[in-house]
Amino acid sequence: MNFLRKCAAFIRKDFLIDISYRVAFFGQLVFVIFLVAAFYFFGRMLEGVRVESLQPYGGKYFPFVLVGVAFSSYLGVAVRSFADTIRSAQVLGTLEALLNTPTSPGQIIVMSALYDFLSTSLRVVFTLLAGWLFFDVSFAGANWAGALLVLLLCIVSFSTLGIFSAAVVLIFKKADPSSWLVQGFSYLLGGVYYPVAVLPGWGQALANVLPITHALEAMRMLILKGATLAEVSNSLLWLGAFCLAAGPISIWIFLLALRRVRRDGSLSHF
Amino acid sequence: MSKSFVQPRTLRQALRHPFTRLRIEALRHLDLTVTEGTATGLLGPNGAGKTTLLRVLSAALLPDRGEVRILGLDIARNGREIRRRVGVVLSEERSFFWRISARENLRFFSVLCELESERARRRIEELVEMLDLGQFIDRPFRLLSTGMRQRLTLARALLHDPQVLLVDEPTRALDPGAAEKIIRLLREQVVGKMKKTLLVATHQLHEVGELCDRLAFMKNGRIEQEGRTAELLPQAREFFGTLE
Repeated sequence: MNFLRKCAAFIRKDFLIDISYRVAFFGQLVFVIFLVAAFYFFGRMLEGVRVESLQPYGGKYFPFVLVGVAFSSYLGVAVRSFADTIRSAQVLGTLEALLNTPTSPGQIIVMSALYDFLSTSLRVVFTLLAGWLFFDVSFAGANWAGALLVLLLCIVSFSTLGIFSAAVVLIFKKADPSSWLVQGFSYLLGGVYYPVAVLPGWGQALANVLPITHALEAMRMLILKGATLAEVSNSLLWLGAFCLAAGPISIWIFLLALRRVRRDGSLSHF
Repeated sequence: MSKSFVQPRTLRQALRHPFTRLRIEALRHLDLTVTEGTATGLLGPNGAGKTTLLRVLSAALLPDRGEVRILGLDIARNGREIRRRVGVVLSEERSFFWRISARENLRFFSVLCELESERARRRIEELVEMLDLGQFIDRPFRLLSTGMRQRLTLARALLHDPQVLLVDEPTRALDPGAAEKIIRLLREQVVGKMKKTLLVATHQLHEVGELCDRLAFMKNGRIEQEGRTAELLPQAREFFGTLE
């Protein structure tokens, strides 16, 4: 019960802070429309051209990239949110006050990212809705229940990378190479804007170890092709195994980092 | 017989300098005993280790060596339990969320302190009245004056009704009127009415004279002298004089 109340308290606090910047709050929703429109016109450029690597996803570029852009935003928020939370709490001076409460540091770091995930979900829904309402993308036959399961695995697996990144920020303060490395490789190789099949052999091999590749592959098959969970079981198994292996390791590294800064007194440094 | 509430023993603490990253010895073989229901003043110049000691006692810092017991609990093993029973007022007004109201800040921290919602609501009302926060409790934190922020910091530290209150430089950056108000609140409400065990770090002699039963002089990470305020206060000027 306490856990849920704490989650609600973090979400309420972050919502009140977010809404206090009204222009930015509504501006990001308007930006979604511009982004979706830009990809729509890019897709029109390819109309009438048969692109072999797009055939498994229905053959059209716009729905392919719409799903890729929408769900890859979870990677950005997961990788950045935990580290940004630590960083801004260090700079704002709230980190020590939060950690002086009986709530465990692990809970604080997870709950601090909840609002970002919720607002990203709102943007994802808005992105898909914009594609459906204004740009004629059809989601008829989509397996939404399956997509929800993949989304859960996708959030957990991306979050393990984010928690690791937060540990780096705790110790090194601003420098966080892990964040841009993960995002750089994921956007380059993970199949966000183009199918992994267009990459050279070494690129495809690297793409196969990235969680985003499996998350987007499963998501596109479920949403655009109405695939069953059995048909995307390889991606599900890979994501599940990644969560089980990387989850405990990233939390362990974070707690080690926290112990170190609590010992050397650099917890509130920035 | 009064109980030992706060008891660091042969405590050593080295800190990393924020810019040079070198380790600095901040506490050296420090011993101190604070007994139940007393108000103890930690007096010392800047850099004596007062804030570091309070950070260790609040379990925000883990000691390198030595033992710290708060209410009989070992700080190295019972950090979470200790945070339930200790309130901390660090002289850090940035530790609030500036875009939301003072009340929303208190409400948020009350949940993290694991207060049940009805109890939290009542507790916030009590503290608002006791600390005279009523006029500005619904204003955004960023619009509050330094004195109001300091009173809010005190309210936050008292939310979970802790047995021990650790206060770091309660009147820093306050004008004389606001400083007097804070000292009066600590003396009359926190020590007098709520009967909290208080440990206050400061370098303001007149404050400890008004507020504390006992004094401890701190220099170079050590407690140099400790005893009753009436006995030690006359020596305080001499103690500070030797530091110059």
